[in-house]
Amino acid sequence: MTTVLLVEDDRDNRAIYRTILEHSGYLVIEAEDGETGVQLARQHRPALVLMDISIPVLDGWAATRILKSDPATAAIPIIALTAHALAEDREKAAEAGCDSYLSKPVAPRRVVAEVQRFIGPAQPPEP
Amino acid sequence: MPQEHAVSPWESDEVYQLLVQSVVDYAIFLLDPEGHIRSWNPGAERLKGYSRDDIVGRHFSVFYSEEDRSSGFPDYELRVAGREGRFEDEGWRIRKDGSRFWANVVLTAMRREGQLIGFAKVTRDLTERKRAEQERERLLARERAAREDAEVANQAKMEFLSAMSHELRTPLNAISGYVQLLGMGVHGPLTEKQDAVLKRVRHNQEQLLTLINDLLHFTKIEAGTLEVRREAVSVAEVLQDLAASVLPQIGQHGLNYEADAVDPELRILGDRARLEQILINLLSNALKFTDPGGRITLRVETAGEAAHLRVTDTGRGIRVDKLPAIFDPFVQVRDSQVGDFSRQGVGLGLAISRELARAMDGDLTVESTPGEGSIFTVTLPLFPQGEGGRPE
Repeated sequence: MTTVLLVEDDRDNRAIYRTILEHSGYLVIEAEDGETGVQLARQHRPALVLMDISIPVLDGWAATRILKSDPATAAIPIIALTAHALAEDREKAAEAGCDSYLSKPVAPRRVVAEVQRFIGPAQPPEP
Repeated sequence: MPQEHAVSPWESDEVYQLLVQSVVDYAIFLLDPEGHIRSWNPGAERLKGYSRDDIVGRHFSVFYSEEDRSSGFPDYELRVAGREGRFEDEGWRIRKDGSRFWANVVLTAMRREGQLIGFAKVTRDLTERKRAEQERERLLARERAAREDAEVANQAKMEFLSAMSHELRTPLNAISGYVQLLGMGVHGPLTEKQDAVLKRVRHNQEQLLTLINDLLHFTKIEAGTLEVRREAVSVAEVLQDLAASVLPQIGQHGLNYEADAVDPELRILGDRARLEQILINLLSNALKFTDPGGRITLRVETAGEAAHLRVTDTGRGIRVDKLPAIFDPFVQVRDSQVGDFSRQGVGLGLAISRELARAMDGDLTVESTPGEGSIFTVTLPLFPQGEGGRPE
């Protein structure tokens, strides 16, 4: 199954994004802070990371920089979730190495569409 | 033998005496080289309260405060005037009755054949001017303090509102997310009734979100902290985007929509997002107040340096006496003759739209005929030709 790592500290956002991603056939693993996010990414090598930016311990920019500078995880697409639709955030996202960014609030459909743009529809589990 | 120049009777000693003795606005008197008072005039008597007999022979330091006397200020005045010919000062002096007055004093050395024989002292009472100055300074200081207080309070208000609106939006966005999931059938198919209820939940959630955003927006405008971009904005592109977001709603209400074909080169100078916001406000207002079967039209004209975007509806219109108030925040036009307007609030939309138009050096105006409809006109400056800016 195609695995998506969701790094997000807000419980409701986690529940909403997880629900729609699972509904669309992805396997979702979750982290609530940047450090755990980096750890899970190294451990599970997900197909894609959805990275909230304002998360505790290590913020989303720092976590992205770590993953993008590690050859083992550099190829994993990272979609940043930012609180504002500011040009500044867009630049920061590109600078940190994010492949794309969505400004919150993001409609569930939009999350799935953006994930599919990078990794295509979820692969059904091996029979 | 050359005749001596005749002394004019105007220059006699007696007339000079009379000159000094007639002046009541200035204290004019003589000091000997040690500072003892040797003559007195009516002006001096009026200013200082001493009669001639009271004061002649006494030392002039009697006019000074205890503090000035002990610091040696009167003797200092004499030394400077003796050395430099004159000394001028402004400061508090003491009357006979102990009261103070603000004096301008000039002390002038009098010499005969190089020998210092004394000092002429001329004093003016500037207490009124001083009081007025002090009053002005006090008022200025008070005004400054009040302005600083207001700025601090305003800053606190803005921070509060910004934090508050974030706090309010977070749960609302969560509600929106969950409702969308339910609506997509993620948790199982919905009955028709459930779907209808969910649509109402969503509608109310959106309305609340709009109100919160408008409120924050309006506060920013009021506080002058709203940023408005100034760049070339293609009107055709704005109308195209607008049609995509508003047309379905207009269709749902059973209304017809007509928009002018706009020259793709037509560009205004302003903020694209703000212009869209204004037009969305105007179109959704037209939508609210026009009955099914009616028509909403968007026309674009240019005149001189300005573009006029007119949103016309065939709704119930607004009475002339209500027109000026509709741009006031939170005003709803209620008129028993033309139906119940309160079902959906006008709220802040028009107030914000007009402020936004004005922030872009334009304006928003309205004309209306009750029973026939309303015309809202957004006027914005055209992007100057030949500057080559491209819309984003």
